[in-house]
Amino acid sequence: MPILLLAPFVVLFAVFFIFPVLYALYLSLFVSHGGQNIFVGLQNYVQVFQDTAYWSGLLRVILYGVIQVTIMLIVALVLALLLDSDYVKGKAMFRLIYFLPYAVPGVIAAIMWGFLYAPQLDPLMSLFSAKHPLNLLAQGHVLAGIINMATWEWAGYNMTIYFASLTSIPVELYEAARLDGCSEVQTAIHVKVPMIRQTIILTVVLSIIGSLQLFNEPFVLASLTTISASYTPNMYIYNTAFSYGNFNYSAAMSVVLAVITFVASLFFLYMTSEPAPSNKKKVNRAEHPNMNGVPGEVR
Amino acid sequence: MKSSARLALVSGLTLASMSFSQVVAHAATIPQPQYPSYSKNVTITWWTWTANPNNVIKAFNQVYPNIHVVPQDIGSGSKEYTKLATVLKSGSGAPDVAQIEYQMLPKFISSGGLQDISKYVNFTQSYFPSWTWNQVSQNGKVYAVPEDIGQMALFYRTDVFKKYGITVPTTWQQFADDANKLHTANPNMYFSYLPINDPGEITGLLWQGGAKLFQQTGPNSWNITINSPQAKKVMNFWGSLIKKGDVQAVSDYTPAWETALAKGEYAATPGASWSPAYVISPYVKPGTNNWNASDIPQWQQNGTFVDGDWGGATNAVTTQSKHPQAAALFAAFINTASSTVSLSGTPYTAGGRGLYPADKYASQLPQLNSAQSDLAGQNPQSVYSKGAASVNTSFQWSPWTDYVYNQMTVEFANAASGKETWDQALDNIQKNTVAFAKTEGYQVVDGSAASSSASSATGQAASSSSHVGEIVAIVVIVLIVGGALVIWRRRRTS
Repeated sequence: MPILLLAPFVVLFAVFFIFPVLYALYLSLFVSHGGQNIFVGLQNYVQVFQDTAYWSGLLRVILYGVIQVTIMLIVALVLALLLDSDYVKGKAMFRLIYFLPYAVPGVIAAIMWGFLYAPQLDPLMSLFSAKHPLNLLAQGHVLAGIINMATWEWAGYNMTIYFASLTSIPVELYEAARLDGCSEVQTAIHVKVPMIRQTIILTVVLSIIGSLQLFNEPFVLASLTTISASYTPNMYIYNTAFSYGNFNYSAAMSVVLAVITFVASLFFLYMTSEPAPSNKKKVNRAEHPNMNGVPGEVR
Repeated sequence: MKSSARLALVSGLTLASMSFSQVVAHAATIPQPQYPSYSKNVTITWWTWTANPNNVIKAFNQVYPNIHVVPQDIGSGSKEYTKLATVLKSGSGAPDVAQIEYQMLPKFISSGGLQDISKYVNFTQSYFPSWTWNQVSQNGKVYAVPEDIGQMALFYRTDVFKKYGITVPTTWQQFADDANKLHTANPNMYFSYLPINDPGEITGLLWQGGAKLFQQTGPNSWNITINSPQAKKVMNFWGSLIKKGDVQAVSDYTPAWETALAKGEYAATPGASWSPAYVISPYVKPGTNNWNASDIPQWQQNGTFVDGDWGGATNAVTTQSKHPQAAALFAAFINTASSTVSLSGTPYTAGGRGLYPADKYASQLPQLNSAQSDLAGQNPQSVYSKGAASVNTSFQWSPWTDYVYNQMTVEFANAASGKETWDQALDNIQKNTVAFAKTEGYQVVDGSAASSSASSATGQAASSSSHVGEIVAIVVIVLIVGGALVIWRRRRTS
């Protein structure tokens, strides 16, 4: 029975992945009144679509994603290209330094930045202006503060992925480029970046998912600021379930968020896939084993 | 919820600053009831985030050696409530006795998580101020025993008041005049602050101002009156002081606020009986540490003295308890017996729990009725006793405290930054809470005044339809852009 060999995967997959999803779907069709579950069909979903707090939270993370992912990936790419060039000495040290923020747990990082943002405490913030220091914890600016935190934490991580991808580009290509008279900058733009295109797409997709699921940073900052309980969709889902005790509505919101994330990722993949499936793509895949081996927790 | 979370947070920081002039844990005796006997051998669990639970259990076991109590610290405030709500929903894993703050009781009562323990604990009723007993009861049933309270008082810096010739305000009008006087004399100082992220304190001020936010009219039905004239009076009072700059709108328990307190930028603040130990002394420095307590200012010059409450918790018995009588006796004993109430009133640095006990007779304890080092040697007992006896008895909490608190934080932040008026902020909280309570399956009466409810209803319709319009517009744009990209791609590939 060769099918039995699938069991270790299928069982775990069913118990820890399929079942929770189905259970969330099931929960989302009920309303709980005084300890009793009443079947209400799609009423929770109708409510989600009318819930302005949910959608404004979603728009907020989309705005966050567009700005943060762009900044973070450009920074990561530039750092990776610099480390891959001949200009830089002490590459191993820099690689480690850039990667270090990722080793700090997200919650700890958020607490740390929360303190750094306090205008009275941070020397850099107070440098801007002695009288009216920039307050990144104030209502209008806190999203910028979160963008900064996430970029700090995840740029080095993405840089490491890019750098690994860059090191697997065949040296012959560089030699050919040099023979054709390419400068270092031209090599970077015309050879290196196209060669790691697939890796870049992958990091963008994972970053889109990460943005839509933004939780840690605003959740920690909530105690220092006036961030609302529905600041991001994930925070809203968490608070609805665990503060307000409404697991059914929370499940409906999770399902809607999952569908939106899925569609957005799929759409991006569709938009960026190669015009026609060709051998080149397959070769690329084979040459970049890291693309399949990236851990799940990536922005 | 928030206040207790920070009780635990700061508990580690206050070691040095919190020493009472004389600590004699078991010396004093105060009146206590006759306790019924209990002969069965049982083990119960107790969720609490207060300090030194084992000392309390030891004292309890001297009277009830058969009841074995296992304390568990699940985290303070919201951390414990999250866990408690989860285990109550899942059907197992709940403790016998849980520490729950007053504002969270209705939520756990209406979700069916707490037992009626009136037949076990009614003999202790006369030991508590009636307002605390009202808060642990619903429809003639009793669900918890009051543990500690946070009757409000005004705390002020004696040196600043002396330097600028300010008399301690007894009415809010005087408070406003003093605020203006101080800020004019020294523009770098604020008379006080309003923590817009701390709905617990603001609700205490509303409570003291005579506002009733919720009235239960049936097991599942509530009357909601958050935007009452009394509430608007209180918020507009603070709003005008903030606008003038005499009082600062802040987020408390943030580094910014702690720094301002340490530097001595504030001359006074309304607070609770636990404030000197948990709000003031952890942050002030030599030179800014001379605070005294005084009666909370009044809205009416010659009326009856009224106070509000900010914080405090209860011990409730969950529906999962298999030994409700033992659990209820434990909850009753530790909050009324002379030995355990003494421990409650003893600082945790001295092996106690560092609370202001709800027990009426606690004011006789030498630990509480003496000069306090964190109040520059003042004995605040007359202020606290008067406050505890004058808390407005008819104030009720709702089952949606989390939601209401979140709404308050958001709307008060908007009002403080001038995006809306304080009236609008309260109207929005009212409107949103009514809508939220309805979706949670409660029968709700929107108790706003007739004229304002009509206007807010139309306002709500207008604002929600405009929001729906925005969302539809965004969806349409997304679809058009997406479609255009797909068409463009197809043309490129073909």
